[in-house]
Amino acid sequence: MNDENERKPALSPRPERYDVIVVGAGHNGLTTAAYLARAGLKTLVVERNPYIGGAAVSRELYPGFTYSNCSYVCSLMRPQIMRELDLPAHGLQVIPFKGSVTMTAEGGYFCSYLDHEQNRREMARYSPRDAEAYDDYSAEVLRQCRFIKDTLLMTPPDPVSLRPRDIKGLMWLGRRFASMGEDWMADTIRFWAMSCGDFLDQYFENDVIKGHLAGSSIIGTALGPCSPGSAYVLLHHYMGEVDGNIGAWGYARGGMGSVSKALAGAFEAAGGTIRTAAPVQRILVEGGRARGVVLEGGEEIFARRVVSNMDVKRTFLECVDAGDLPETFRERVENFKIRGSSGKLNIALDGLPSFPSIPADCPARSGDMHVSDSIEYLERAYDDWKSGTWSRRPYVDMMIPSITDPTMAPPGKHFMSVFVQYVPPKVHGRDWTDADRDAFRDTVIDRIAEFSPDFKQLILDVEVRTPRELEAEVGLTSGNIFQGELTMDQLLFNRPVPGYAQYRTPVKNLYLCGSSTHPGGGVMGAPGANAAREIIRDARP
Amino acid sequence: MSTKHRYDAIVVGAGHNGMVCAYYLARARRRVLVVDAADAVGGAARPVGFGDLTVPFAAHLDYGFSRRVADDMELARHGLAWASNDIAGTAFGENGARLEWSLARDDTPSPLPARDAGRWPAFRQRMARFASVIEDIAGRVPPCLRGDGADARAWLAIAWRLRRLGAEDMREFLRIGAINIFDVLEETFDDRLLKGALATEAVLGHGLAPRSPNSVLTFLMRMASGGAAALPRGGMTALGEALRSACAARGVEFRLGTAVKRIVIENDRAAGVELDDGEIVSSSDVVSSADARTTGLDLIGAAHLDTGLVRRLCNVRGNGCTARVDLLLDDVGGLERDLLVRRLLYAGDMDTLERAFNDSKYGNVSSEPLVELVFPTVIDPAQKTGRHHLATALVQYVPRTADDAGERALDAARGVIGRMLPGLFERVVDTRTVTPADVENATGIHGGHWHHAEIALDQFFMLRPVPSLARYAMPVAGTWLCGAAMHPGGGISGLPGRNAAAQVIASGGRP
Amino acid sequence: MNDALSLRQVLETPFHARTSALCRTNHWGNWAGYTTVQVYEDVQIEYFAARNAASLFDLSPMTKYDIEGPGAEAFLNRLLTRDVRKLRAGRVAYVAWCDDDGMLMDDGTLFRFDADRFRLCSQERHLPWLLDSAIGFDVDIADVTESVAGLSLQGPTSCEVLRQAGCRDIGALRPFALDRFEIDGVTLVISRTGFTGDLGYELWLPPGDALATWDALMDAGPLHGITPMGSLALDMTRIEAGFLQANVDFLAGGRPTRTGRLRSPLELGLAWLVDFDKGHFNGRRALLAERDNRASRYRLVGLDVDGNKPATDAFLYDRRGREAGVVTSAMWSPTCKKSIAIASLNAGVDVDLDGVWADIYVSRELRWRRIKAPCREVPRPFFNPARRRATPAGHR
Repeated sequence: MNDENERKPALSPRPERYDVIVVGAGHNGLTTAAYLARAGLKTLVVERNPYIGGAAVSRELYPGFTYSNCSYVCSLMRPQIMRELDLPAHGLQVIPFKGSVTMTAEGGYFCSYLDHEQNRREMARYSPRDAEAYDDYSAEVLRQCRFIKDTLLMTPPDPVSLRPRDIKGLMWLGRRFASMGEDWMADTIRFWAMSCGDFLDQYFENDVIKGHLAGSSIIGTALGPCSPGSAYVLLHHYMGEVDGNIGAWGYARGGMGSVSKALAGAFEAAGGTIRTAAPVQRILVEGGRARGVVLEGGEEIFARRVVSNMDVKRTFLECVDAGDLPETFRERVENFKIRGSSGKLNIALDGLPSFPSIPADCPARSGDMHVSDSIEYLERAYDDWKSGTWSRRPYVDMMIPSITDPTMAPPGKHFMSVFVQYVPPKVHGRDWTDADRDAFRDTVIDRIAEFSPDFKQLILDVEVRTPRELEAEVGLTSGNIFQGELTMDQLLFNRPVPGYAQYRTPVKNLYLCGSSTHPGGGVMGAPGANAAREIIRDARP
Repeated sequence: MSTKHRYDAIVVGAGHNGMVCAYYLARARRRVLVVDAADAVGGAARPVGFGDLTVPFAAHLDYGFSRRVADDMELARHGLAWASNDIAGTAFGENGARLEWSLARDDTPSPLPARDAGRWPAFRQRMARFASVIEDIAGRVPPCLRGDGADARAWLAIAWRLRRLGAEDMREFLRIGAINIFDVLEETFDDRLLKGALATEAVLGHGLAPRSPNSVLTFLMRMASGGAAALPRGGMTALGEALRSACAARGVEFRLGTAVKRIVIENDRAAGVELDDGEIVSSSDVVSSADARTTGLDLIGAAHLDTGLVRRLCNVRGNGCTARVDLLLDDVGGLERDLLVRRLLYAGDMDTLERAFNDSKYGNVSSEPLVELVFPTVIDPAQKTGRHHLATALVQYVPRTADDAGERALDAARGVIGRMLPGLFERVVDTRTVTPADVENATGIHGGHWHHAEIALDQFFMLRPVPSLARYAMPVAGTWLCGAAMHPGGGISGLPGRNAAAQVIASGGRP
Repeated sequence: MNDALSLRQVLETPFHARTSALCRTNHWGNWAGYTTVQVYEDVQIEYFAARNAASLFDLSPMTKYDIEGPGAEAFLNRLLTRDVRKLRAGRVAYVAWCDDDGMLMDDGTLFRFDADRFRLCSQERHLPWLLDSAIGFDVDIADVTESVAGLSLQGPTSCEVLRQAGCRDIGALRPFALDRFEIDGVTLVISRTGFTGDLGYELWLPPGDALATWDALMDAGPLHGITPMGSLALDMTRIEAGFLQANVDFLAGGRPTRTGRLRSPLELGLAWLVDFDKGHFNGRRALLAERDNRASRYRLVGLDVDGNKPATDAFLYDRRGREAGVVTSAMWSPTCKKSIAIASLNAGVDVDLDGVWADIYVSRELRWRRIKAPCREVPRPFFNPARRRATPAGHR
């Protein structure tokens, strides 16, 4: 094994006092750490795994292949963070890819293109009306993106508090909201409250088009496309941008580990230290204040402040003594919803699999490929999850990044990333077994093989990641990729816990910086940057 | 303008909201005419014959007619009395488990495990506090999102009402307000039947399941209207009679058995209505209790509306999913007598409800539906006008578009009811089903939904039924909406009618 | 649309075989998914052909919807701001339509073939809006953009070219009239319309007849100076004609992502297109309120700008240095011999009283200069020859 991001455990340094210890070297932890180090704070990142990156990793799990084995595309990373931390100078390169395609049950295909008119003509094959309605739809979604984008890098104001800072924040939000005008304000509220299916029904009539667009409304959520509140998840697809092209998606060259590597580079360039293979057993709390961490094996490291990149449950239910937390807070953390809903197959292929339903020269082959050709397909997949099993006909988001980025596989061979939904955190209420995992794997592979006759023969290696593996390896409770579901009760000032949405916690000098905090998951770095801002504010003499 | 027209206002539709609106207008000294295509008043609660009994066309129980409206209209003086003002519930689960509860009372449901019983009072009280905020909102005419002083004051008043809950409650309200009842109940209780029963209260009449976000809102709406399920003496049709009598006492005129073909518009202003026989009755205002889409597209006509509004009207979500099944019984002897005076729910647990909903998402009648069953002739002997007894059930989910919806609903109900009250179906001599499609055909409510438009955050308050119509006025001057599609919607509350009347009166005009 | 076409990123118009042979600059643009000529040989030559002789322009990518049925007139009367009942069969009208807020969605031309058959041509696409506007009306709407090819023959000698090509009675065709003609055995519709503000015609024909018709016109035209014209020269003529260009002078389509970007027809100098007395139409209530409350935020004007540098994209200021508006289209007019501009002024600004000037940046051999050019308000069109309106059509 020769992982991109694997590091030799640093020699145990002599007992040293840090300004800040960041627990977990995920992308948010590294983002926070980089900002802190640049602000002159002596910062240590401790990471349980022998490699950094958390869920943004590139690993050589099969000889010659680079697996982006958790997160797999990159465009949500806030441009402001990339710029402030100078990530390109530390090796981050994001390459846009071309469009996406859905293969239909009838053997047809539906493609998204970057070119506006080409995209319209493609839609017109299915519905001339929908082809033109797409512009109305895009405008509405972009309008919503515009509103939400500015809130990503803000600390959510507390609506209950009467502190000037919170009132100012609320008024800022209120003014921004009011500047939209009556109709758009109404539509914005509706958008946040609607189901993806209802939202799409306002614009489109064709099932394939709706199915194609709806895919991005379910990723990572424990909602179906017909559940109210799923429409805004569509934003995730549009919020991404590559070089200012809103809605464009890209691959990180060298796999997602490049993101972590660049963040670590920025951190270390600013004088920070990373210790891998240093699992934290407990966060030291004395007199209601965080004092440092205890590693498995008993080593204690002290610091003025501790920042947890772990999800809120893992942080408070496993690493902090119950006695150090207010009871209501602990109860809220226990009730924090973090059910996993997705899984992943990472596949090394001996060659490029054929997909006969897609024309050979279709550029979308290098983008994401789907087989979910209607809202009903997705909703039925969700029904299976609700009843405690993985979808019998799952949503798959397949992509072959090695077409675009040849560094990811040996010449002529390919790496395929298959994101799968829905996958429950427990199977019929019990833990996953290896047999379940294999059955799940076969479900997915059989489904893909229905569209690719040579797919099975080309498989060299499959890494299967159910919520069980995500939890065990990455530390995501229940395998939830967003460190907590993105529903109304867990957004903005409610995330992760009402009253504690400003990255601080009931334990003084203990902070959260992971996706459990506002604005949530996706490799965007915003929670990390926001947390850093609050910590620096507190650390200011 | 008064002398030019025969009436100051014509109300289209003699459903409860139409009559409530007519009453308030007449009380403000308007000359009011109510027109309805049916021969009797009541709309969905109008009387129809069934065997030797008279039953309401579709309305089932009174889940919270506004007390304020009832008092204003002095409905008691006009003959409205209650056979029961809170029919206590019994929920049936799997393996014969039962649970007794009422949302309207403080009594702890029983039997409950100790932990749940301990948590009940705090839960109910908190929900009641939250519901009081909703109640406050329900009584208001929705303010504009960006308006002048009055609108801003209304928003501040609502914010202040929320703040008065206290920091802890306000946080909790903001946390759960937009989510699903499933998660809230899962956090709080263990007993599956209790969760099933409470979830049923949240989803009954709505195209929602426990896991659907918005179901906390519908639960609070249910609590806000008292949480009771009541039955007027003489049945739901008696409510319509009392409303008619109260209206008549104020001089409201009625023309029944006459459909309104269209609203007459002259110079972008209402001028009256054209009846189906071609007669034109002139009036300076026309208030429609039909749903917004029907009013806009059929009565006013798209030619008088802007395309954006038409588009929004066509996107109003309001496909009914609740059917009514009436069973004519030759006798109720031998059945468990205590149960017959209660509201019997088959809810199973939240998963049962969720599965029932799953069927309907794809256009099928639930194979194991949610059922709410009552025996009106047992609860209220006055309704036993003949030899037979009546059992009436709500069956959910029955999508509007399902094939043979009536038969399938009946079949599905038979299976479930058979488990609740074995032997009941052996006493059935006749059945009657009213599906959402039947409601649509008979009343013209597009979609056949109880609430004309689904109650959900995207169709709530200032967004209901569509944002630009939330203040009860259609864009054509002098045309108004007063039906359940309007805020606060909600079954038979009378509040849309009351709020609409307030707006008509506030718009100026006479007297 | 077949699969193969959907894989092509940019399509070719029915005239491509001819236009590509003539396009010596190889300067192409993408117009609504079609590759179209920007400049064939030289912008000035093409421009003067349109003003002095005859220019031939391929307008096939123009969006075209056929609107037919017993309810077509009522439908259009509700959709458009003009009174369509006054448009007789065989006539064409410049039309505009608004959203619910009275904001302009697009402008275009409406052809009335007979009582129940119309064609609406516009820059942007509007099918969902048209279909939703058709709810409650007995009307069929079809996108015929791909099945109708279009040519624009403009200029003083255009009538002669058509006559030469076999359209004997073309001279009798009145401005904004349409009729059927035959050229080389091809039956086509010709309307006396155009975007140049001069005598000119537009020809509408099946794509299969496109090349034959092109050839017939080019064969008939040499003595009359026929010259193919690209989009850049067309844009010059349309500014001189004072016409608005969608997505240049106003945002078309009705789907902005930012607030306050749309303009009402009253704000765009199109009040003459709005008929408040015809009954309800989309946006009427909002426009009425705007008119009655004098609530227009902008005013569209034609400007005569001092000097010879086009005021393209220039901000306008008043004499006290306050922002007064922006120029949306501008050029040096070779025919008028002055620098002209179409500008959107903030409400309340008076060009002459307030001393409005344009802030123009010019590079003279890479040395940049800022010119504060005084402006005068002038009527549009800037260029308005009598031959544009004369019937029978003549070339003077």
